[in-house]
Parts: sequence; C-alpha cells; structure tokens
Amino acid sequence: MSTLLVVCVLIPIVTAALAFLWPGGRRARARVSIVGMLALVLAAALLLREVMLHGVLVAHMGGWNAPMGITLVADPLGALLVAVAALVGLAVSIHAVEDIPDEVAVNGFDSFLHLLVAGVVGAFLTGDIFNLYVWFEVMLISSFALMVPGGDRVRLDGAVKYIVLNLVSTVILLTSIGLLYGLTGTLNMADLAGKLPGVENQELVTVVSVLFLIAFGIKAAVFPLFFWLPASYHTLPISVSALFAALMTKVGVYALLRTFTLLFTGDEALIRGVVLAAALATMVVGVLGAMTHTDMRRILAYHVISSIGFMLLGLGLGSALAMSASIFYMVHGILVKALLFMLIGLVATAGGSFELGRLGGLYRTRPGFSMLFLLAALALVGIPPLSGFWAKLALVEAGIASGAGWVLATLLLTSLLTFVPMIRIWSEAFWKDAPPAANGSDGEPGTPARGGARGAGDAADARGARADGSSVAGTGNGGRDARLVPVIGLSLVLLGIGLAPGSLLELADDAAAGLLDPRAYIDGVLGTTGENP
Amino acid sequence: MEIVLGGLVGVLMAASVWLMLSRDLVKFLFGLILIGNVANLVIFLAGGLTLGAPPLIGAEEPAGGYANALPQALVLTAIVIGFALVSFTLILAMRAWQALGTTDVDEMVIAERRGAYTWVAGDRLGSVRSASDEPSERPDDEPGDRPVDRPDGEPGDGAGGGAGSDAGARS
Repeated sequence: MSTLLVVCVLIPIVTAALAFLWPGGRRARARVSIVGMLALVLAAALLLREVMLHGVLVAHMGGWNAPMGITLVADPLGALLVAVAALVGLAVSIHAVEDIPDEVAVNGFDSFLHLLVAGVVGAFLTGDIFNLYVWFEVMLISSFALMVPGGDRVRLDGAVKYIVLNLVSTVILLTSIGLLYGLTGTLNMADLAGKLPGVENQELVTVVSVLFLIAFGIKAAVFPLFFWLPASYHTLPISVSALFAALMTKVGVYALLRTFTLLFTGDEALIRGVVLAAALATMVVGVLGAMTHTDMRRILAYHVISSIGFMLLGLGLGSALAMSASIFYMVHGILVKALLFMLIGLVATAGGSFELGRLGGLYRTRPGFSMLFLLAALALVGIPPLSGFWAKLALVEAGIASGAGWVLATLLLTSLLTFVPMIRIWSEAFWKDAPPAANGSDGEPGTPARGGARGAGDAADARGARADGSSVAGTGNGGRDARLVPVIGLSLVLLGIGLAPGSLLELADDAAAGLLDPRAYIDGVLGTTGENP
Repeated sequence: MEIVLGGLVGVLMAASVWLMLSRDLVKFLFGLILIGNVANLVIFLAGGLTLGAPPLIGAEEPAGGYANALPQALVLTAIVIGFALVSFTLILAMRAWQALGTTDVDEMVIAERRGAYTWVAGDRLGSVRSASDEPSERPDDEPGDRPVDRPDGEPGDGAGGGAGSDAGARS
C-alpha cells in the first residue's frame, strides 16, 4: 500500500503537466484541473484510511532504504493534513474557474495551482529534512507564479515583500539543514531523531534548532516574523488568497510541529517557552491587527496570523490534550479560512468593493448568502455547534489543565476579540443600509442591489461583457455563479465537523499521540519493526 | 582549509547582511544572492572536506579513502533552486521598478496604505486606483497589468519619498 504515498505526490504533478499541455481552451484545462484534484482527494482519503487502519505508512524512493535514500512517510498527522489540503485544493480549483479571468489563467494558473498543492502534500509526507526544503521551494516558486501574473502595481509591491522575506527564510532553512547534516551526517528525520541526542556539542544543536524555529517561523507567520503576510495577502486574487491563507502558513506550522517533536527534543523547556510566548503574541497581535482594518481581505489576513498562534499553542504547552486541540484547530482553521476568503470575494462581487464603508444592505438583497457568511464567521469565532467551538473548547481545556492562568486568559481574550472584526463585517456589509452610490450614476440609495451594478458599470469598459455577466450572477441571488459550489461544499464540511466532531477529534488525538511519542514513526521509517525488513 | 573556508563564510555572510540591510531593493537582492551562496558554502563545509579523493568508487574502497558526495549533491540542488528563485526575483524587481518607479523599499508602501486597493466588482484583475483617490473618481490611469514607467504620482508622497531617498543617499 505504500505506493499510495507516491500516488498522492504524483497526482498533482501529473495533473500540472496535463493542465499545461491539454488541448482546448480554458474550460478544458480547468476540467482537467478539477478532475486531478478529485483524484487527489480520493487518494488522500484512501491514504488517511490506510494510516488509521495500519499505522504509519512508509515508502523508500529508488529502493534505497531509510537512512540512505529519501523516504516518504504518512503518519496520522501527515495523512490528515494531506486530506485537508486536497479538499482545499479541490475547492480552489472549482472557485478559480469563475474567479481567475482567462487572460490570467493562460499563464498556467491551473498548473501552478497543482504544483503548489504538490509542494504542500510533499512537505506533509516527506521523511527527509532536505527533501522538506525542496518541497518548500516547489511550493514557494509556484506561489510566486500564482501571485504575480496579471498583477498591477499594488500586487507587485506586495509580491516583492512576500517573495523577498520568504527567500530570507529559505536561506536560513538551508543553512540550518547544512549545519544539521554537519553535526549528524544524516538527513533522514527518523534517523536524526536517534542521532541528535548523541551529538557531543548539544549547545550547537540548540543553536541549529533556533535557526529552524526562525526559518519555519517566517513561513508560518509567527509573531515577530509575520510582516510579509499582511503586506501581500490582500493584493491577491481571491482564489489565490484563499489557497495561500488556507495552506501556505500551515505548512510552516506543520514543519515546526514535526521538527520540534521529532528532532529537537533535547532543550525542551527553552523551546517550549519561546514557542508559547510567540504563539500567544501571534494570537493577540493578529487579532488586534484585524480590528484596525476596514478592508475585508486585510481583516482576514490578520485573522490568518491570529489563528497561527492557536495552532502553535499545542507545541508551546506540550501536553497531549493541547497538541490534539491544536491539530483539530489546524484542520478547522484551514477550511474556515479558505471558506471566508471565498465568501468575501462573493460579498465584493455583490457589493462592489472590499471596503466595509462602501458595502451595505446585503442581508436585504441576498439573505441566503448572508446566512452562509454568518455561518462561516461564527465557525471562525467558535460559537457552539460549529467546528471552531470544539477546537477552542479543547484548547481551553488544555489551557486549564496546564495550570497557566495567563495562557488561559490570553486564549479567552483573543477568542472574544476575534468576534469583533467578524461582527463588524457582518453589521457593515450585511446589516447597515447600502451607502449612497458615490458615482451618482445609476445606483440610488434606496436600491442597495445596484451597488454591484454600479461597480460592474465602472469596469464594463475594461472588461466588457464578462464583467457584466459575473455581476449579474453575483447580485441575482442565484446559484449560477460557480464560485458558490466550493463555498457551499466547504460550509457543509464545516457544519459536518461541527455537528459530529467525534471522528475528527479522534483523528487529532491519534495525530497528537504520534507527535508526542514518535516511536511508531521512527520504527516505521527505519524498519526496526516488522514492516520493512 | 576548513579555517580558510570558515573565515570566507564569515566574511561573505557579513557582507551579505550588510547589503541586505540596505534600503535599496537591488542591493538587498545582491545580498540575497550572496547569502544564498554562503548557505551553499556552509553545507559544503559542514559536510566535511576531503582533499583529492574520488566521490564515486568501484566495488572496493580505494587506498586514499573517498569523498562524501552527498554535500555536493545537496549544494547542486540548492544552486539550481536558488538560480530559479533569483532569476524570478530579479525579473520581479525590474517589473516592480517599472511599475512603482522606485527601488527604495521605504517608498514601496502602496500595498499597505489604507484604502490603497479599490476593488471593483466584475473586474477580477482588480484594477488599481491610486491610493488617494476619492471613491467617486473613475480609474484614470491604465489598467494595472501594464507597467507604468513613472513614480507614484500622489500628492503628499513627494515629501516623504524625498526624505526617504535623502536618507538613503546618506546611508
């Protein structure tokens, strides 16, 4: 069954090539892209099932066994995250058909989308630290190619910061991998786990671990290192924002979880303290940033940062309870971020702007859609029957169990503050009356629905019939906008998690147990038990 | 040999950090290129140096020992990846310079300015109005997907920008 691991990595790569070479227009390529994502979701689901049934799955590349060759490993955490990433990839690939205009998609949008997902999946599945770096690069270069084409001045400006700061992180990661190899002579993570405690110079190991903390911290947008994220995420097309917000930072979080539970366990107290402080600061700073903005995309970008803090809390506290809660939160966070970004894209289509001041009256014109947004917003905040509630409940339990009152206080305060920007979006964009049409053209104050038409009128010169058509789909409360498909799909998944959190909680428990006691992982990779003689 | 290379790593690292602290994007990128090479040297050095021994050997071990080929393979991979990233970034920097009219990172702030980005429904490319636009103004410049070879023509930006470049010249 270990071929399943290779299949999960290969599907997006093959689909990327197919989507690039496929004859026919945009529609045909998009169809290839969606079919590829469906196949990946299927393979990832099979992988997850296999890992749940039979434990850690291992595949050795090129017939070189563990410490020598590159190994792919699926433990419960990796398999779970691959499944979630595939789901988000599917949602984005459907969303992009309508969202990304043909003249931009012609630059290979679908291919790079799949390559990015390949990078994410590869990073979740690899058992080799240098290979992890390579997957990070695959992800990074595809993300560049997704963000820049079709870009205007603002996006170029954001892209410069995103790219430059991510390259700095890459160099730090590469250097620390080099030093790690110098210390131990191996790159296989399971092998490293066995060899690092035996290294003479433990101080140097701590130094290297701090380098890893910084490199992955930049990728994950942890507190003092997050500046690239709010500088760039709001400049992207919505499909790309949703994809990045859902997946990119989480790979950084995953890498932190993996390296600091498997490799750098020697100086636990120091690292735990640093991670805990950074996690709490990330939570608070992120949510404060979200409160200061009026552009919906910037609000959500800061929410992404805030949620990274919640995901690192498990590593900071170090208990099985907290780790499991953080993993649950990670799954919830990935899905809800993708959903919210897609929703605000629809809000902006209906209302003509991302600026809260220019929006309004959407509840009157589009009640069904408003309910979808409310559902997603409440899921993010953590109102009881929704998925965020279980995640935060588990985190609060872990906070109580840890006995650190200030952790608990920060957690609750951040949760409360998370509510504020979401409620502001709700009251500004949905509840208040639509602002009078600033153009003085066809939009009258009394007819809020005209907001969208006004915007479309502006753009009609530039974009012609297409702009008009999409705006009609947006304002007309109808389900004809293809972007509603992934939105409704993700909402149902979140609702499902909220109503029946049991199986995901179990999965998260398994994943946390696998992190805190990596023996199964190490034995699986090195073949010290029966599976790979 | 290790001492020499170690010293070289130190000097190059210092030089690249100095370059990367610059406010000029181009200097920063030179620093980034340099530090990428420093990272490669670090891998090479950390993998251990072996003088005059072959990395590829036959069935029996040669008398003079053999060199570890893995660090070189890693460095090669890193060089290829680094080359791709650097080429992309240089092109991006050029596009950014064409579009923004500056390489001074203190002036490259249009994305982060409040209300910098006015998105218009239906226009999925998100054509830009300049940051100080009133909502009522129509987008008067070209759709943003063509680079505009002129500085950000905003009122109030001149003073700040001028001060920025003065400071840049001093440093």
